[in-house]
Amino acid sequence: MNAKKIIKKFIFMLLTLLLVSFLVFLAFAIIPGDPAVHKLGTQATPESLEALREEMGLNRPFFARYASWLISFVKGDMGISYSYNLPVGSMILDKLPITLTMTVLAFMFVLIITFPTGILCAKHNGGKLDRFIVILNQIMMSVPSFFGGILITIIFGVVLKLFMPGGYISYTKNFTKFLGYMCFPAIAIAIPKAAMSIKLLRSSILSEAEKDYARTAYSHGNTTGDVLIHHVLQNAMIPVVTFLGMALADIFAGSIIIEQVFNIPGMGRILLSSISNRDYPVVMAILVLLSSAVIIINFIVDIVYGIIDPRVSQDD
Amino acid sequence: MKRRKKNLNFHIGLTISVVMLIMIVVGLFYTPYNPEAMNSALKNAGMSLAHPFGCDNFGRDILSRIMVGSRTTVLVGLATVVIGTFFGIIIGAFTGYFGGMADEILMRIMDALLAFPSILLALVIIGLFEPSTWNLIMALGIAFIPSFARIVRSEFLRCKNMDYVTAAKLNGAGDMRVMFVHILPNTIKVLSSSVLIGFNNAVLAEAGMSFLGIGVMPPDPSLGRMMSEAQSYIFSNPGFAIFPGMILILIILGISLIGSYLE
Repeated sequence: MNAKKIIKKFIFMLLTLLLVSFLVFLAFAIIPGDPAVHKLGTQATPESLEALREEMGLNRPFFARYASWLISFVKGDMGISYSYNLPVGSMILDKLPITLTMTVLAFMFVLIITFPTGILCAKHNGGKLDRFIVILNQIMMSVPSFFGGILITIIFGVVLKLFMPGGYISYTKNFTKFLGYMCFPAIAIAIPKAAMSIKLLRSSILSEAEKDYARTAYSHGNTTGDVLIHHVLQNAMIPVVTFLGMALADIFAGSIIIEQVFNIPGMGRILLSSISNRDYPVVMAILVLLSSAVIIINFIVDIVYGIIDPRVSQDD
Repeated sequence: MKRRKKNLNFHIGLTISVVMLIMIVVGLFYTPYNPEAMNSALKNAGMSLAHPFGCDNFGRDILSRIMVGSRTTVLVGLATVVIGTFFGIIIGAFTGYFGGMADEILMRIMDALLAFPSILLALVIIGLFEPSTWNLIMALGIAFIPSFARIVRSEFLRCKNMDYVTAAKLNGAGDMRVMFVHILPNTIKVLSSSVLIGFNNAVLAEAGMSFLGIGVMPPDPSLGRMMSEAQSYIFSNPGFAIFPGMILILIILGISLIGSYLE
């Protein structure tokens, strides 16, 4: 992939980010309800309301407000939370390590489960093991992550007593225990995603393995395992990489639900509480951050895609 | 061999879905107990002949609540898919068929909307309004429009220069007729499998939102809601969480097996 194409995609990504931030700002600007009234509550007088509106910049034209919001957002100033009176940026920064750890762990589990299992299935295509995994896969794909989380809590927490259900340990207190606890929600998120990518990898390997170059590799005397890992896998990975990129974004957003199952005070917790408190600066900031993460991940996947499959950049 | 395996998948999927459907339809007329009737003597009662799935924290029969709750879950899923498909078809058809500036702008907005994971988008829409079953349907429906619009658009782009479309135009068919009478039926194959996937995603999203407490509101039972209520009782009454979850898995599994056959 040449530099020109990457720059083009990069500019396109920036435009999408801009559009997303605009949509979020627009949505929260047109909803009924005056933030100044909300902040002052019952003590509001017409004069104090007017003063606060002026102070919060609510009387300025829409685009001016958007521009100044965006500029301070990019600088890291995401406004002040209505209900906690804290800077939104530091509130989120506190919780980000939790959500990020969970996402990274879950994504690692997906990778660790997918590749060996997918290759194993393809190698023993049609065998007992393969058929068993295919059926198991189909069922695992249908397990919602939060129910997986409940099952894991029952099996590993209540029956096997490997961890204390709901006994979250903060990463500032004991990082090793924190990591240990985070493994369980991470597995719950990873299971359905891993099942989908195993299915994709398996069928992708099988269709690549029928091609001429694989047959040539066989005729050179390579074993099945050799052919699959050294010749076929690189090509077979291409659709899987796209899926994994989407899965990473999904895992990041899906952590909101799983946090509730394992009683983890992460980004999901503040998002939910600020939605019910109508604490809009926090909701807006989290939305923009989460969707920006998704857009940036997609951009990186696009670039990686071009590197592992040079045909892509020739096509368009 | 391959074909037979696919058929087997289809039959298993169909059987599961029909059983689920029967359970839901029967639930319309008959449940073993009143799903709302509380009984303090049966709080968190385990499985028994009288209550095969046990009772919840208020002593309500879990089986009866599942029968009514899966109806809510499936209805929300259906309504979401109907809204998503309807507006998706309209937006996708016009942008794909006519192209031009409007297409560019609408598709950029759709791309931007797709950057929000659908559950996040639905969360915000609920956040702007009040949590209720109707708002949940609306929120999920809106969240599902972009993906349907993209699929329909690419199908219309593929079809609009085909011979049969040209022939229809030469016969004097107007744009509307070409779009909805001639092209639309040819997109059914692609559309139907994405409708099934969309239905599953909608069911999952409903369960997730109700699990978070911002979807279906009490006292209406829904599978997600039951699991969220069951969370505090996983020590004393694990069946309270497990049975609704199993039914949810069966609903999704049945539809996805049928879907994999259509692909």
